[in-house]
Amino acid sequence: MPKGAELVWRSVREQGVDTVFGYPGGAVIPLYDALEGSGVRHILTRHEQGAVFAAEGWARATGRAGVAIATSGPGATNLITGIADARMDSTPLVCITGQVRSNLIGTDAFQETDIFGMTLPITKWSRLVRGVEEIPEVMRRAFEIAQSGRPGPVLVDIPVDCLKAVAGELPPPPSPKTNAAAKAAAKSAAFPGVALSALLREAKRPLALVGAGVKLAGAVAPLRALLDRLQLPAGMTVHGLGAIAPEAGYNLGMVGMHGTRAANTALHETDLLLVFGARLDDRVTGDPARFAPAARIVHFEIDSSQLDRVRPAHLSIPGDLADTLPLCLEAIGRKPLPDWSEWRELACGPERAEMAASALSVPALQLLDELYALLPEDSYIVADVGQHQMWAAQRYRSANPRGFITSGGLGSMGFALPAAIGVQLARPNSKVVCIAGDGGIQMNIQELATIKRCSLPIKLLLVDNKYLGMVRQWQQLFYDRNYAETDLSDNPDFLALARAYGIDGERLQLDPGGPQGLPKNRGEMLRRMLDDPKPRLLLFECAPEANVFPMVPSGAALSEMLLQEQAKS
Amino acid sequence: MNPPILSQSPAADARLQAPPAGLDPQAPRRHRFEVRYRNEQGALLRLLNAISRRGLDFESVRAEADADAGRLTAIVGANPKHIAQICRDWRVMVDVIEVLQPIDLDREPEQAPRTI
Ligand SMILES: Cc1ncc(C[n+]2csc(CCOP(=O)(O)OP(=O)(O)O)c2C)c(N)n1
Repeated sequence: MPKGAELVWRSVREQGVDTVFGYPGGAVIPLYDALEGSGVRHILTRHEQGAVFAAEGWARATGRAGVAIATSGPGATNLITGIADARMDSTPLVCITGQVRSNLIGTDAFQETDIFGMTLPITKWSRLVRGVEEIPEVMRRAFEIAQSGRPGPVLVDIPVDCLKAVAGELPPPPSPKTNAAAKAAAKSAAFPGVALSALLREAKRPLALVGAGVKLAGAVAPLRALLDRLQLPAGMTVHGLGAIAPEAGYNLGMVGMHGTRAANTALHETDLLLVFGARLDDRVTGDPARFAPAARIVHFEIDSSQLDRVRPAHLSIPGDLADTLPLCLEAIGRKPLPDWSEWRELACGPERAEMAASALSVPALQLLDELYALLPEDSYIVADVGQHQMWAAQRYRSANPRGFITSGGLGSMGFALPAAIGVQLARPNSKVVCIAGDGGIQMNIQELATIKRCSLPIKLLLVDNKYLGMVRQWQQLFYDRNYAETDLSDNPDFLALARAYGIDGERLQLDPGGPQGLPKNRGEMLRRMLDDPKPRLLLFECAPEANVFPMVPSGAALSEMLLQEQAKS
Repeated sequence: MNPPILSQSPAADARLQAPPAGLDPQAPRRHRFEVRYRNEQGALLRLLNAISRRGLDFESVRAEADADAGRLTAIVGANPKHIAQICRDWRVMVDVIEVLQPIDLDREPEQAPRTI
C-alpha cells in the first residue's frame, strides 16, 4: 500500500505534470523521501518565492497547472506573494504545503502557521488534508479547479503524518467528469447574435480590446479569424500581447497606462468596444468614469464576476471564449459589414501610430527593437516590473501568443528571473530572455544558482538605471523630483555577482556619439548573448533618468496621457 | 465554477439596488444577504471575507448547515457598488450554490428572498 507522499507524486504524474518547483523542510521531508522513482523532476529553487514564480512561469508557458512545494510555517508563507500573483493573472497553480502533525494543529507548534486561513482570500480553492485516504481525490480536485473556468491558484496543506501514513483502502476514483454539461449549456443557450450584429451595424467607430482570457481559453485562432473578418482597430492589454497578429493593419498595440498613443486615443473615441477576455483593471481603463466615454460595451468573459464591474456592459457574453468567439463569427455571417475603413485609417494611421518621435530616441527602446529582431518567433520574453517592463511591452511585436510573460495584475518585482526558469524548463528549445531592472533583480537574485545548477541557457538583460526607476519616474513627474529612497547608485557589481554564480556576461554602456546613443558594437553583444549555449548576462547601463512614455497619470483619463515633450515642458 | 450563462442584459445587480426616490442612491443601506453553499472547508470564511475585505461591518451573521448545504445570512450596511461586487464575487466561488437577491431592510423588511 502506498504512503501519502507517494500518492501525492502519483497524482502529480497523473495530471501530466513532470516538473515541480520547491524547497524542502521538516514537514515535507517524507515527500522528498519519496521523490526518487516518482517520475517527477523537482527543481530546487533557492527561496520558496522563487519556486512559486517558477511554477507560474511553467504554467504560463504550457497552459497547465504549475506546482510549487514548501514546508510548513515560513516556507508556506513565502509562497503567498506568488499565490496572490497567480490569482491576479489567472495562472493555474497548485501549491502543496507541509503542515505540522495533525495532533499538533492548533497548538502553535514549531513552524505551525495557518496557511489555509491566510490564503483563503487569494486562492480559488484549498484543502487541509485530514487523512491519507483523502489525498488522491483532493489532488485531483486541486488540479481540476486550478485549470478550469478562469484559472487560478489552489492550495493543498498536508500534515506531515498524512504524508508518512500508509493508505488503507482508497475510495474508488470518481467517474471522469468533463465539463461537457457546462459547455453544452453555453452552446445551447441562445447566443445574442442578433443583438451583437445590430450593435456592430450601428457602430461608427468600433474597437476590439483583447486580454489574457483569449490565450487562456486557447482561442487565439478564432480571435484572429474574427478580427480579420471585422477589420476594426484592435488593442491589447499587457497580458493580451501576442494575441493579435503583429503585422495586422488594425493592430494598435498595447492599451493603458503606458499604452500606445494610437490605442489609448482610439479607446477614448470608440462608440462600440468589444472586450475579449480582459477584466478592465485600472491600469487599462485610467479613470474608470471616463473610460471609453462614448462607447457601448460588449464584454466576452469567462469569469462572470468581472462583468459590469467597471461599467455596466450593454451586452454581456459570459462563457469560454473558445465557444463564444466562433459563435460570434458565425453570428456575424457573410453579410457585408459597415465600411469602417475611414475610422480604421484614422485610428491606425501614421500620425497616431507611434509615440512622439523623441520618445523613440530612448536607447532602451532601440536596444529592445534590435533584440526582438534577432529572436526567433518561438522565443519568450519574461519581464520583471518597472520601466524596463513597460518598454519591453511597448516594443513587443511577436506573434507567439504566450511569448510575453510578466506580472501584470499584482506587479510583483522579483517575478521575472524565477519565472524565466519555469519557462525555460517548459520550453527547453526556445530562447528565453529575462528582462529585469536593477531593483527587481535583487529580489530573487539567488535564483541565478538554480539557473546554473540546471544549466539553463536563460539570457538576462539587466536594465541598470541605478534607480527604482518606475517609482523615481513618478517622483519626478508628480512629487517635484523628490527621489526619496529610490537611489540605487551603490548597486553591487552585477557582472561580478553573476560570475560568482558561474554566469558570464558583459557590460553595454551608452555611447552619446553612437547611433541612438548606443555603442556601435551592441549588435555583436546581443548576438553573443543569444548565441551562447550557456546562461549569460548583458548589463545595460541605461540613462538614470530615462522615462516611459506615453504615460496616463494615475486617475486621469486615457485621453490625458502625457507624451514626452509635454512632460519635459 | 457555475455553468456559463448567456445574458443580454446589464448586471441585474445594478438594477436591483435602485433606492426609493429622494434618497442618495450611493449611500450605504442595511441589507440582508443570503447565500447557499456547499458546506466544505473554508467556504463560509471565503463568503464572509468578500464582505469584510471591503471594510464593511457585520450587524449580524447566521450560518447553518444541513446535510445538503450551508446557508449564510448576514445583515450588513452596504452601498450599491459593494452589494454588486459582493454578489458577483460570491457567484463565482467554487462552493457557492445559489446567491439570493439581497434585501434592502431599510425599505422592504418583509420581502422574501429571490434568486439572482
Ligand atoms: C515586490 C514589490 N515591491 C515594490 C514594488 C513597487 N515598484 C514598482 S516598480 C518599482 C521600481 C522597479 O525598479 P527596477 O527593478 O530597478 O526597474 P526599473 O523601473 O528601474 O526599470 C517599484 C519599487 C513592486 N511593484 N513590487
